[in-house]
Amino acid sequence: MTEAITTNKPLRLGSTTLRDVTALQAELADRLDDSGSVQIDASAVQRIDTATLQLLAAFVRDLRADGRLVEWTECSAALWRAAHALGLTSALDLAVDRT
Amino acid sequence: MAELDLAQFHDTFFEESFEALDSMEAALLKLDVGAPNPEGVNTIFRVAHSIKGGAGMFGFTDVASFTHTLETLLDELRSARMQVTTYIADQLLLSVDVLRAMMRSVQRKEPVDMQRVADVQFDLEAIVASKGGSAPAAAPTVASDANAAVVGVAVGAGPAGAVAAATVAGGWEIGFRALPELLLRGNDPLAIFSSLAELGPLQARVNMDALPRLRQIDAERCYLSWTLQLTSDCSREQIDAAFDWATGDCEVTVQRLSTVGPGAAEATAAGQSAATASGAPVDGSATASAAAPTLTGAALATGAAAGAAGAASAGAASGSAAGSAGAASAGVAPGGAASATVTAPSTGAPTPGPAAASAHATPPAQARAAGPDAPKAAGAEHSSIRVSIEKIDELINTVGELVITQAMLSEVGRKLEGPFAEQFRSGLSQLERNMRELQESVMRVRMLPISFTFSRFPRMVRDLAQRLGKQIELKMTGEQTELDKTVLEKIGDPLVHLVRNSVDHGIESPEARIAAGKSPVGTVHLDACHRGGSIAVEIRDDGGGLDKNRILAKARSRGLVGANDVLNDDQIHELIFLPGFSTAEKTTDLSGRGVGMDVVRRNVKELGGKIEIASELGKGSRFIITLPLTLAIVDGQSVSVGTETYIVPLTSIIESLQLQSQSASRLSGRGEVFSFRGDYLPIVRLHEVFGVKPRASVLHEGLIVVAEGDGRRIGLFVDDLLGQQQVVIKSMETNYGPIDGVAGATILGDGSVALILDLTGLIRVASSRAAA
Repeated sequence: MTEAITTNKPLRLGSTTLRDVTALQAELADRLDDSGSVQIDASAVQRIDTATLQLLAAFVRDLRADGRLVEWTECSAALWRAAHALGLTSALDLAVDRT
Repeated sequence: MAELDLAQFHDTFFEESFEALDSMEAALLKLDVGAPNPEGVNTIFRVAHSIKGGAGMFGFTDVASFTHTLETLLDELRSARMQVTTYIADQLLLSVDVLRAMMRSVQRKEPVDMQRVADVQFDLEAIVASKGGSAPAAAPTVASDANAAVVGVAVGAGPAGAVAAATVAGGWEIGFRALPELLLRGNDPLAIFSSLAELGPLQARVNMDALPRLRQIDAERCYLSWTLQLTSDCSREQIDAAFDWATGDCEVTVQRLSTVGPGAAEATAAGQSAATASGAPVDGSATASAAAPTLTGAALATGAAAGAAGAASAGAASGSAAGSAGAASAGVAPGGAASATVTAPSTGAPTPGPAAASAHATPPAQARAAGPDAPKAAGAEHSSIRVSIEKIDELINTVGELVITQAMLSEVGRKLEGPFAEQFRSGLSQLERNMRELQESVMRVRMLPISFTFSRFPRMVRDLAQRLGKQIELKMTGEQTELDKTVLEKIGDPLVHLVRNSVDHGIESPEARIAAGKSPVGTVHLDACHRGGSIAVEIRDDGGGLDKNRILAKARSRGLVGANDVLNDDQIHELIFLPGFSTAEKTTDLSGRGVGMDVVRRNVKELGGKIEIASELGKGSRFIITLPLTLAIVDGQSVSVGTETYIVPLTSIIESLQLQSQSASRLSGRGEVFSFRGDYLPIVRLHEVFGVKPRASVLHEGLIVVAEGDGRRIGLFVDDLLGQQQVVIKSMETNYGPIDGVAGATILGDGSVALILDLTGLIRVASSRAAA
């Protein structure tokens, strides 16, 4: 079961705020236990806050420490802007070459 | 309390912004991909910055937000943290388009196409992010490196570090650390930062050292701290206000950044540790080493002074004072050196040489910031004021009246006798000289360099060439040639048509050019120069030239030319000015629809100008437009007919001669003609056209003025020639109504009114009379 999740199912990120960060934290923690890169689809993110971004930053950092990567399959402008504003684009591996 | 109505300044803002965008576009086109051009980027940055400032002030938030993004990218470029690539140049040009469209919508109070804006804005942001992130080639996957994530800054030693300018900008550096309760109390750093970003460009550098592993995180607690750089001339209070709600839940340090010279770095605010001390383990070479892209004007002087003052060489802090930030900081800290701020915690990375600090400042900021050097800097600037065209026209009008009054006085002076007559006359001649100078100066106020019109072409040619798959080099010379604003505005469209024609029809495809033994890169050359009292604008290309046979064949097939008519080159070239004439094999969306050349000629004619063509098959074409410098005055020959005086524009006169009655002959149906250099020209008796009783009714008693209009020549029969003079044109259309054959009127020295002849109209009138 875990195998299937690691490789295929992308993590779908929606608009998350302080109220549901704990749930997100649990979900991310689960992903940490997997292997391989983690795909995140953040196209649905309309609103995002610092707490969520902080979690994501920790997640990406921990993944990297494991020699693993995050792949953003989609990233909404809202997420991108917030990450940029907080200086977290590099930390989130969002700094992909879009050209 | 009545609020200041900002709306009254909107027009000025838009006008200035559109001009600024034009200059931004021009500067963008000059940017060489791959070759750093800090001054060019600086110019562009300043434009974006001032538009942002204005838009913010007037509450055009969409424009302000977009320019903010644009500015962020430009800041990366000007500090050489990123190189200009073709893609970036394209995106920047696109941004100019978007901004123009936005401003136009805002100006017309129409909805802005936000989708397009958002798309471009997103791309701009992506560029900044991608370069900022991809630059650190050194192990981006190592976790500890991520802690020092510096947005938009090349982190890491090596070449990237060597070219990276310091991250420090003029304005404020803010250290921000969240206390555990911050998020729970409903304060989000994002909101705080976005209110800070309203004050100016904000760059955030995050420190994640305190962030535990994901599982250990208390998700409702903020572990991050930031070093923010705010490029703004805002006050400390404005910054504090952004943190109002979070007071007690965070630690904030604020310090002012200054334009710092090489080696001049010293802490200002006592008791405040440099915000960067909060621990971002930023590689010294990335933040501090600054390969000076530019060092301009007074900022240089300030920097040098600071260095000379012997401030401790604590490292390289390069301040880039954008906007008036430099001025603001210098105002608080006179002398610069004494209160230079530690802006980079990088004592370990000495700057490579004294020129290493890059200090950018807008010209006004330089002037104010430099203290003793200010006058020097100010002298280098162009200062100008904005005056409405109505005011200038009023002035010109008054000067015109003065000229008339002066002419009247001169008349009186000539007749005057007595002891003071000579003195009076010498005074008059001085008045006349001064009047002429005054008139010229006033006219010059209305004159603008033709570069205002030329400036749109680089972009246009670039885009067209790209679309058509051609390689074209656009050369422009004589851009500083000045001509009247009205003429300038009206000549724009005809020139666009001609340049388009050259690009579309003139220049061949690279393959065809190579096959013809030419360089694959075609050249379109725009040139402007003064020729006597007129200006000549030439559009020259080294393309295929006009194919006379094809033009002729086309004209024959349309019945425009008889099958057996023989035409000379000039006559064949004339054909392309006929309405609906196009030889293009396929109609493109650019040209070839047959509209254009006739419109071009009509417009040029309306301005009192003419257009000529010279072309050689396979070698290229030249279109030469000759225009009067101004529409307000004309050099004229005054002629008398009976008791009336008429003015014939000098530009239309070929020569004047006396004719013996027997040299003229009367042709049935075509009136009177006379032989002039192998041609038969019709004689137009002005007294008949205007219904005046002449003094001379026999040809040899009067004079013939050979004049030209619309490519046709006529002989104007007049009583006498009076003299040549510059006359101020008064519009007949405005003051009375249009009259065929009359271009306008003027008031003569004796107070009488003289009509100024319009040769083109006159020829039309005369030929219809002859035909009748």
